[in-house]
Amino acid sequence: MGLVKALLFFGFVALGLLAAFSSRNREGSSYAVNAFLVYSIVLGLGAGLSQHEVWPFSTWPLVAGTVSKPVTHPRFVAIDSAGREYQIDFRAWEPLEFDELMAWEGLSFFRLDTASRDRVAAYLLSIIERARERWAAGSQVDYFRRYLGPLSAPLFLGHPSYWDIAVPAQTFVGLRLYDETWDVEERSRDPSKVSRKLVYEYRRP
Amino acid sequence: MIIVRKSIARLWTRAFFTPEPALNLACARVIFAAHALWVLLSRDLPALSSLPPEFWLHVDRSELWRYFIVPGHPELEYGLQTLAIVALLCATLGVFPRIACFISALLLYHLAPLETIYWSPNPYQRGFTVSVLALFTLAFSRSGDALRPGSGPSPPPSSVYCWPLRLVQLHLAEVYFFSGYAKLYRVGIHWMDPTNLRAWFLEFNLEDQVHRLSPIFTTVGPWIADHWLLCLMAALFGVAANLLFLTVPFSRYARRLLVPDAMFFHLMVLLSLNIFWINTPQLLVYVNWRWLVDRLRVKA
Repeated sequence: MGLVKALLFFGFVALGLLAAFSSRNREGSSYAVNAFLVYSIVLGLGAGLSQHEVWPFSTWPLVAGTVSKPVTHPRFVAIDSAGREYQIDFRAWEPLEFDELMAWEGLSFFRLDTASRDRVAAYLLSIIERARERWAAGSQVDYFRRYLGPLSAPLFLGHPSYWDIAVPAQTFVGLRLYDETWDVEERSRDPSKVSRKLVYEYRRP
Repeated sequence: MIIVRKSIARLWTRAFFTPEPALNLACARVIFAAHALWVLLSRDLPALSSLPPEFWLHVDRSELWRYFIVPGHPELEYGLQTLAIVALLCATLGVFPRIACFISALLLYHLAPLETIYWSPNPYQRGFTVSVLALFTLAFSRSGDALRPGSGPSPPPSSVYCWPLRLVQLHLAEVYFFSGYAKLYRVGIHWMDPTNLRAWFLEFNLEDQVHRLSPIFTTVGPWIADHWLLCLMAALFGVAANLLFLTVPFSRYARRLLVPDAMFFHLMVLLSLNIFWINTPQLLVYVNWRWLVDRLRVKA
């Protein structure tokens, strides 16, 4: 299916090139320009109306759903040698983006065998521990802001900057993954109405 | 039948082939190239090529081929990113603008999916979707006739500057239209039920991992959620205003009403749902720059 989508996309590019060459020295509409326009519009509408992406002709299903009852969200926390838990600042995952990582976790993490899961956890732990070490030493590396600083493009969703308040001083030796489940109405009345289930734990050997 | 055909032809010509100033098309080039550069410099896409093999296990091979992605070559990706940065700078500054637009669009088509490919081949709303379409379209048209070093006096308005500008504007308008349409397609008219909107506002504000620490980001959403009428208005905004946005490229009245409305909508979405709409600066493509420059000149 990916190759069909590539063909459809490169059809757009090919017709565009044809339109560019055919309209070099003339004003007004030409057959090639009209063909390019019609193809672009049909492909854009086709992808959107059928809700089947042919990226960059996309479907844009933004907040296009209902909130499930109850909702379940994953939460990674880091642990030190004494087993104390720490929130992980979203910037510590870089170059991974927090939302993409959580989406991947939901789709693929538990389809991996145990050994693969542990290898992934070791990799993630190495990223966040390296970030923690640098931040604790006062040399924060914020990859996404390395060129443009505060003028950098924000991520789609906002995330709390936990480590702006305090960087954990203890070395991270493991990760825990929880599933947090709650009902929006219940939790809006009582913030403590969250059930937490440990679904995975990794400790560095 | 002939009358219908003639009417369609007349509408088509009016929509895509009326005289347009070269400056407006050149401004579109600057807006999309500068925007893509801004997003590219705010991410680290090449680094994702070096993710461990486990991340690539469930990725459909054909999706990788589609974007010419071969995992495990971050150095190559950094090289391509550097090339993309140079091309986008050239497109922004007007140095070989059409070739620069083409090269940057092709490179972004490859680089942008790296952001999500390990879980989704559809990297929409990450900042490059409209840019890829726009930069290709600008490469295929005379987007370099103004706003480039050494360009003489601005050429007279012409239809060759109209169709590419209108198409780029349409690509951006489709974002809004399909955002409204997808809600109806996937959920139905009851997406607009105020209780659904209330649940969304509450969820985004109760899930502490997706909001910023400043109190403003946890105040507006719950406040709207507590007002049935505001939830209904948010629902109408989310569907009706978005569907109507498809008229914006073709109607100056729609532009005057719906573009500022979209800016307000994005501000409210940021404050209430913590969602940053990265395409917001691209709304500048609906400004009539020629009119604005002439007006400023007269005032000066």
